[in-house]
Amino acid sequence: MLTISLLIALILFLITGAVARGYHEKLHALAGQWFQAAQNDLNAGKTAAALTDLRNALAYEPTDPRIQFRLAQALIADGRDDEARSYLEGLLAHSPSDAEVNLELARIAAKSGNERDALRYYHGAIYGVWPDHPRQDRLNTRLELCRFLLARNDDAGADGELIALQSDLPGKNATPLHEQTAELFLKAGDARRALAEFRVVLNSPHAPAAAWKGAGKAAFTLGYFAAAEHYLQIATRLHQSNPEIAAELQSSRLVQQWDPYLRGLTAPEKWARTRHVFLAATARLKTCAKSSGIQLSAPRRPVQGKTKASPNAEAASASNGEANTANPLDLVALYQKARTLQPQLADWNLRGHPETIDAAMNLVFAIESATAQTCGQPAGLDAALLVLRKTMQSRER
Amino acid sequence: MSEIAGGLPAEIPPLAEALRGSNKKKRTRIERLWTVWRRKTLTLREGQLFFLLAIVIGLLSGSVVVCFRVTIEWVRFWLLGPSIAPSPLRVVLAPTLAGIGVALLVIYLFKRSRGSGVNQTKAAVFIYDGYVSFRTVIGKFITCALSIGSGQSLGPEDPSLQMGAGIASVLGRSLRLSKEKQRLLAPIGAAAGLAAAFNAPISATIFVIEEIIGTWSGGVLGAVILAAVSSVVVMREFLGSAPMFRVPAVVFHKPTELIGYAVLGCISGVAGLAFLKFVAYFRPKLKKLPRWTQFVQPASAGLLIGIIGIWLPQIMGSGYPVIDQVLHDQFVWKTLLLLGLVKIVATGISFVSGTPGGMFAPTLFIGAALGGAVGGFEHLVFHQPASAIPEFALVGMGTFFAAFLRVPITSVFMVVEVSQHYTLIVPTIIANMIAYFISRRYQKVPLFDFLARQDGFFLPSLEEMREQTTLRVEDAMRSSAGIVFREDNLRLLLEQTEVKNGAQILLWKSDGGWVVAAREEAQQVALNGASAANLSTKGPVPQLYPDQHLDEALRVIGDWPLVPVVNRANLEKVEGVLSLDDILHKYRS
Repeated sequence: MLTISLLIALILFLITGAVARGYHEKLHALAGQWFQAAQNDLNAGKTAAALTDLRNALAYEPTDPRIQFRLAQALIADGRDDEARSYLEGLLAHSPSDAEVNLELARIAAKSGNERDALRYYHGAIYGVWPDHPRQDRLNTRLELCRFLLARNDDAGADGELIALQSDLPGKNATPLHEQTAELFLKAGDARRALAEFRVVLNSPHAPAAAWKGAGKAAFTLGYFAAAEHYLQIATRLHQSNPEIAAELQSSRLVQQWDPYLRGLTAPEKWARTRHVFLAATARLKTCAKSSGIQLSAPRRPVQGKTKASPNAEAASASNGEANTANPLDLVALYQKARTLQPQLADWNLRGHPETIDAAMNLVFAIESATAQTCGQPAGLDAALLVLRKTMQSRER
Repeated sequence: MSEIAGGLPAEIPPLAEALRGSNKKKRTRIERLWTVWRRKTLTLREGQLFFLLAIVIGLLSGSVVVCFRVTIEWVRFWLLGPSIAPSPLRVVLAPTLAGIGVALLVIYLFKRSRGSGVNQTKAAVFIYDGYVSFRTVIGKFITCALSIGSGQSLGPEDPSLQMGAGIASVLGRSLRLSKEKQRLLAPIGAAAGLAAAFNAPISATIFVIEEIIGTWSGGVLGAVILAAVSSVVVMREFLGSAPMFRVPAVVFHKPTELIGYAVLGCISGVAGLAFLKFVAYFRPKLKKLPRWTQFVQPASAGLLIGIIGIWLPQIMGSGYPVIDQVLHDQFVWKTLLLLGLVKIVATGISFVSGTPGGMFAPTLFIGAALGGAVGGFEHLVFHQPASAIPEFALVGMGTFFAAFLRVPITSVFMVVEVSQHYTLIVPTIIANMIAYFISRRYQKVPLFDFLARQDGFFLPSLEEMREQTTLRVEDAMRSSAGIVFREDNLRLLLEQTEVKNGAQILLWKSDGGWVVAAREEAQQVALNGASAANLSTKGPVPQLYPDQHLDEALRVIGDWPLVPVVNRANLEKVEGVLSLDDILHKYRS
């Protein structure tokens, strides 16, 4: 009887096998149909219908990662990040190195402001397994990570990622990637690497106009005023100009025209430039004091009340981390110093005391800085002198 | 060869004959050896046969359950269509029409298909010597596939359990096993059926032990495990090895979260209690209605569920895909709360109407929905960084299971096994126990017991059995003072002036072991200064230990007037003595 039972079990086994096979084929077919319907709905922009289709498909193939991933993407498109995250985390538990899943999770975490998780998932995506174009996808993901870090004001973090990305950039036929990288370097405050990347872009046969502008800005930030003028001129010619670019271009020209520290100048040229910028700064000081109602020649006394600064000046000083307004006494003191120093700028004195140029320029920079705080951002040569001051400070650092 | 044969013609016949004789002897000896070896090794004793049978039961039950689940799905495709959100017309018509068919089948063909499979299996074990008819198996298969596939809010696990028990019973009868073994086969089949339905051999084994057998007998346990495992192997072979529910990465961050899970335990306990009261109240009411109403009760239940299903199609059928969605955070907490409450009503309606089908899957559905609702609410109120719905839904499944079905151990293992996640074991245990105790506090009789009583069976309540106080030897023994003496120190007996401690004494012999002697004789021997060797004693007397069960002591004590109760670490140290009167006195008190 036991033998008969075993025989019956075997027959039942075979029947069950046939039934199960038919069942799986049916499920597979249904899942495929619903998945296809979902794709069509998604292509037609019908996200809600696509969600229902994908849920139907998932009911028939609950373990199919392709359906789960598509459903998660559809949920994200529908703004239901929490629901999508649940599926994505399930997928990640089964396949931790799946780069696409990591990327979607990173985006959800980034959207919800969870920086730690976002970084973890972005790195998971960068070092994970991509199905089709791994190199391109990794670079794009790292660019996305850099944008995320910059949006979170993590310039140092973004710069580190960009340096890593830079080493992976392909040499040829990757102008857009180099351009994006350069732009991001610039935003991260790494003008040197930004300029290098822009130069790679500019060396390509069809360099985009925006690259000239970017290169100009990078060169300007680095204090390479000749190069900045060259790039910005071309950018202006290619209709890339705006008031900021125009101001930078003008500043670049003026700095080159009047910078007494420029290499290759003769001594008389240096003296002449020093005197010119000194007189310009003194004139700015007088104008500023007059507009602010400060008596520069009056004897020193405590000033009642505050001197009002322009909103631009406040913003500028705040951005420099300085006091909102310069003390009026400073302007008076600076004026007194200028009056004392002015006679020493004669050729005969400068010949014997070349260090007077440094003293004069320091005073010029102090005047421009103080007047910028009191009377707002200057234009023309005064603005160029402020740029020169900033460049020299950064060079000293 | 021909030359040799031709050259020695006269010698060949006797040689051949001798060779034939020798071969015959050899063959006989080999046959004898083979027979002996076969008898020794291949002939199965009943115990071995029992284990082999458990495997066969597992294989058969697994196959039947696979076919059953596939049939449910096919019925669903035919009646409701391939979408998880079918058209309203189908939603209303399918369960209604199927309800009429089910009623006719149950009334005219398969009378025993109605009711709880767990109770029918228990009845088979305790009343019918393990008998479950094959007709019941077929009836359960057809009627449950029709009702569940058409969208009635019932599950396939309970019928699978009964089908497994039925297959085991049929096999047992065919093999003409003893009544005792046949009685044991039904729960073995039940475990196999449930294991295949749940893809959870451990939970099925524990459930059968906890709810059907009630004891951890070594022999049965082995067979139950074998059957459960072999049925799951078959199920996984045909339907895949993925766990029943795909649970996303769930985490248990910090102990303060346990407060939330404790709240979930309270809510599930109350909800489980409400569900129990619903079934306990309406089932007998509907049973008392005129007989003709039984023809329309399943159809009416189907109609009601269909109407609900137009707005909430998720509550139809077993609801496994919806549980998957709940675990993947696809609903907001208000929807989950609504789904949980409506599912209680829908399942209650389906079950009390007498539609065949089980309550395990709906119980999990309700638990997941209520758990998810609590998790979602907590997320909303306490502004947790990530949604806690999957975690609470998973724990909620076990919690409601514990509160409603009153199987606390199974509920914990089931959560772990069906999800293949161990992370939430601590919250699950805590929440389940809270829910279980709330349910037990306000509903004394568990679900399966009151269902059995409503059907006219007075099956043993295993929950009550588990909680019965066990009397031990230490509860009945009395002091050994004046009764126990050492053989070499018999003089101490003379200090006993009154014979109030009985006519017998116990003596510890110098060479070890206990004997019993008459007190008067011993006193006389001691008075004469004679050796204890002169005493007429009876022994060796068996000994007992304080922790032994009293019924065990009853078997040990036999005709002995006194038995010493000794310390397990020191057999010479007497903790007390026990007599038959002491035992009876304890049982009477």
